Amino acid sequence: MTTFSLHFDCLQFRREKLADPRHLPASALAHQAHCSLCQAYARRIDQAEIKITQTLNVAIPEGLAERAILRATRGQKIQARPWKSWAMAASVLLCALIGSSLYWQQSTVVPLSIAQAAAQHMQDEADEMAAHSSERVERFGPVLASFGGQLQAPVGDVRYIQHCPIPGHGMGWHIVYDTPQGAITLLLVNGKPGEPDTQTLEVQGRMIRVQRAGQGYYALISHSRAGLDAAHRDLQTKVRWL
Amino acid sequence: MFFQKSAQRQFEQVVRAYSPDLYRFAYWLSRDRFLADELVQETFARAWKAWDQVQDPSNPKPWLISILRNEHARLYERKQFDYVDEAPEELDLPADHDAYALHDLENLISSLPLSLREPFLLQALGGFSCAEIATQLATTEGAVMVRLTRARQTLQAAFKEDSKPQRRLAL
Repeated sequence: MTTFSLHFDCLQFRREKLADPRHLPASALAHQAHCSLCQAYARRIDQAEIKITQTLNVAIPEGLAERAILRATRGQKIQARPWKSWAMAASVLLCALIGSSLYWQQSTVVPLSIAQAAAQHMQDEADEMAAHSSERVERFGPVLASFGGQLQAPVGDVRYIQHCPIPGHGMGWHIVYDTPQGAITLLLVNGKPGEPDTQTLEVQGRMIRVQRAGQGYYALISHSRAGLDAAHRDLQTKVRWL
Repeated sequence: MFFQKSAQRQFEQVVRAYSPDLYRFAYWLSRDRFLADELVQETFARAWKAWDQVQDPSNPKPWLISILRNEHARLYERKQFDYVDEAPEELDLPADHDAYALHDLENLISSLPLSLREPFLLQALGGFSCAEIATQLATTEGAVMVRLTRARQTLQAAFKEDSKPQRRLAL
């Protein structure tokens, strides 16, 4: 059978298959059963659907459900009961005590800089990385693009991408790639007013350089100063920040 | 108090069960990780406030999706398109395990106009039928079928373009 011999049923089948590949009506399935051309067409569409499903199946951020539950129920109003007015009074007193306690604690907390947050995250993540699967490494380009970076040339072999909570800075991207100088960690983090444009420091044996770029800051982390400098130079030439 | 706790337990089960689907839908709708996270949280916050209004507790997904869509629509102005039902053609697929092809496919799906992307995501991620999507989008089943066909045709055209030799973006 050649394409010019397609009759109405084949065209109708293809329309049905394109519109809803997984829920074909009985008439379409009956046609497919005895039309080899449409069987081949259906196979190709089904293969495409598998690819599309794989693509759509992006990784879920850690703790999403817990954050959603907390946010939804934290502001929940509990109906006051007249026969429990004493409980209301106790609640007010408790809130006042907790509030003053939190205020006292907050007044003594110094906000983490991005470099400190990056170091903290690296420490927290050390055990987690093995436990959690990475996003597909092919997502590096799109992830970078979503942060305002345009990849001009390969920076190295990307082997880990994950959307992670960064202490004090919301969610950020944690990327690990291999370079001739060794493994480099790249964090893409939302910025806050007052952060310096660039900062380099050593924390717990790791060299960290933070640089304002794209939609916030990136932090490069290496075990050596030479590795950090090389990775930074490399990144500057291979990524164009919008 | 008992009912309150029971409702909260039920709500928490729903959040855990549906947050992955909602997140993926929000991500592909907004194409932004941070925004998707925010949309999911806001969706569940609104759902909890109106928890006594859920019509089908055994299947709250359509209701949650409609809340999420409303939240997303509040952020972005919707565009209207004219649709033409074109004849379907053969589909060339990217090679298996082709990182570039996957990368390009992501970009392709992201670049679909919202009017095509939304029903496509409702079907591919939400598992909804054309009739259910039509209800969600307040349109006809035929219109949904046209949009879905159009979405796949757009991908198909890009696949064909993609199969031609060209300079690729390196990872």
